[in-house]
Amino acid sequence: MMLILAILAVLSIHDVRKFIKAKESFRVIATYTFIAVLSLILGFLISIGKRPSSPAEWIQKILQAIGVIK
Amino acid sequence: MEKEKISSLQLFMLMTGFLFGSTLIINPITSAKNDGWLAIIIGGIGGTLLLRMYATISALNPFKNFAEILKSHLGKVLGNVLALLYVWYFTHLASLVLRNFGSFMTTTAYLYTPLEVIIVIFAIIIVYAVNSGIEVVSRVSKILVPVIPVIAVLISIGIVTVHDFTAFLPLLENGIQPVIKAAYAFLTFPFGETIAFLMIFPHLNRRENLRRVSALSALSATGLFLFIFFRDITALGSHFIYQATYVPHITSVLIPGINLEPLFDINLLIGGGIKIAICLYAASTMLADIIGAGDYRKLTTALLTFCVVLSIWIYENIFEMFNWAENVWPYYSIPFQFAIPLILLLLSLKNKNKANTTESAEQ
Repeated sequence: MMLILAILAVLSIHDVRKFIKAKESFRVIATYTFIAVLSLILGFLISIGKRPSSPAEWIQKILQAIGVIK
Repeated sequence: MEKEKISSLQLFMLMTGFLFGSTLIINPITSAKNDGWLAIIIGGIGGTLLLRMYATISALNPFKNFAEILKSHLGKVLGNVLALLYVWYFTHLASLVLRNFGSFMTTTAYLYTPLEVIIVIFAIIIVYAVNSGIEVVSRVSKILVPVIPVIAVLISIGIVTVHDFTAFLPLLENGIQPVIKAAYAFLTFPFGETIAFLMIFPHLNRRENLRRVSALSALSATGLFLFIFFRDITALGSHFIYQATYVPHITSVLIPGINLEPLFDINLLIGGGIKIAICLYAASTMLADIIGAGDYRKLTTALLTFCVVLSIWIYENIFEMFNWAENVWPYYSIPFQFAIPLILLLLSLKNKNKANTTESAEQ
């Protein structure tokens, strides 16, 4: 998993460098960086065995709380 | 919007491939047991109507993609919020298909390969395809999607000696309720997921064919699912179908003297690949529209990285995945697949009537 994260991190850094060179708008760089950094942090947490509760669990809990599913 | 154009045949192939997607791995009609064929027919009819609704929304808002339709009818703020929710929905869907595919591969073919490796290799190919443009994806699907029914027929011919043609009887043994539940699950997965095509429809070169193509692909996919269901149930029996994890895969390994399993894997690569590509394209185009990025390609790598991580993060094991797909997904999908599109359809019809009235008053 760590190796895969490293590959994805390299791809992301390459893209961000291209954005800075091409003077891309702040919104694009910020959105890209936010998604990439969030993914890499989550990936790192999963790889070290500290998996946070997943969106599937949150969605299930929300649907249970409003009584849609038992 | 970019100037890429796709033909009616390409859209038909894209939609059929998308509908086929991962439905072979997670079969939503297994809960109906031997009445699954009824669930497929009911779900298929509902799916055709649903696709017609999506096509009508697009036809009433010509040259606008989904994000633009949302903004034009609901205002910039609410439209952007809903578009952002759809970005999440499409990313989530892409992750689910990636995970389904990865879990299937590591369970049946590549037992010693880590799940992450399978998912990343598949994802890198898909991001390359998406970055090449929707026109390229549709051309590839035009070549590859016809392979799916050919493989289904090949497998069926191979197991022709092990058939029990009464396996789907008796009719409605457990009542109509499981059939309705399975039909609804089949409606939300895969038919409702074609909401992502609202981002593709504006690329169709002959817009007058939109409704016909949508209906035709829904009916073709239903026919193919029906064929596969009868093949599987006559070969395995209803009890085994209910117990098994990957039903079509088991059917494909039943053939004596020849291994057709790789052909089944090819089917998944084609269907799953198209589905993830469409979801990733829809998510990145929508996000690019929200932030005003211009070109969706600027965001595909970031979104794909998130998809890969989400696909591993989302479930701890395949049993959780099956349970979630069967019990949570159909309800979680209601606002995305039914409620919001229905509101958009009503608003589009209202605006069209208003425009017609103004036009006739001016004349």
